[in-house]
Amino acid sequence: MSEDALTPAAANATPAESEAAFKTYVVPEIEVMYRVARSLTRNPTDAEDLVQDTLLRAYRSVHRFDGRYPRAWLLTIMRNAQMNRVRRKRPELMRDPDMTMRRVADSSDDGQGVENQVMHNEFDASIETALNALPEKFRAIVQLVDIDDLSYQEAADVLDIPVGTVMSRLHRARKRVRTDLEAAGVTGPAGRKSQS
Amino acid sequence: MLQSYLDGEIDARDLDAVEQHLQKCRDCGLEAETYAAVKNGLARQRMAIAPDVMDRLRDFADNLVSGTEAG
Repeated sequence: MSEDALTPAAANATPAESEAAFKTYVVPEIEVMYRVARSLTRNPTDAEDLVQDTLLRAYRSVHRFDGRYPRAWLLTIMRNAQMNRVRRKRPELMRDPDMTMRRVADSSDDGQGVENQVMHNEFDASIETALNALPEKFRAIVQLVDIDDLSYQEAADVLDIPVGTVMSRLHRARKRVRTDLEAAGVTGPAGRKSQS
Repeated sequence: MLQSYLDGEIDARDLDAVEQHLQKCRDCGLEAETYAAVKNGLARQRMAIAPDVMDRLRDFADNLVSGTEAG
């Protein structure tokens, strides 16, 4: 692939270059965008709306995109788009951005309505329980990094927190999950895993 | 450090140090296995996306490019 042909020039790209860039950098990220949007919104319809909103904004600004880190670029656009949507509908939530994320995520019915590819065995059922027992700040990070497969930096961009915070919350969250699994007897302390 | 190693989020120098340590240290090796199992279990929680959702979103993106959507 010729990066030069697709990366917009230092000045604004031509329409043809922009369209090529959109197809190359944005379209492949639609699935990840939807997964993240599900984490940020209350229901699948809102998530679709958010992705469309993000795609539109990305399309309008792709002529300025330098081709580096497309996923981070798109997720930042999505985060801002979501903040704007919340600001318009629920201005009282905007006073505390952390509260916004918590309230938006808490009222999501993801845990019940979502179809899962969960294998029905004791280990996975225990994981699901442990996950749902996590405080929201921890659950959101695990959702983005371990389930939606974002990098630490991408999760930091989506949540607008430092990478170090992502790491510490993620590690503590996994420790809690692991402790819950030990308590449930589906995994032993380091060294002894029970057969499940 | 161990969790960052399992996430592929450490630099080359630390990677070497961790791998060398894991070869020698049984406790850390078992710890690594446990966390890997937790990570894999969490990854299996990944949601299946309905195909019609993806179709709609891809159509939307295609329409932006072809100019059908007011852009």
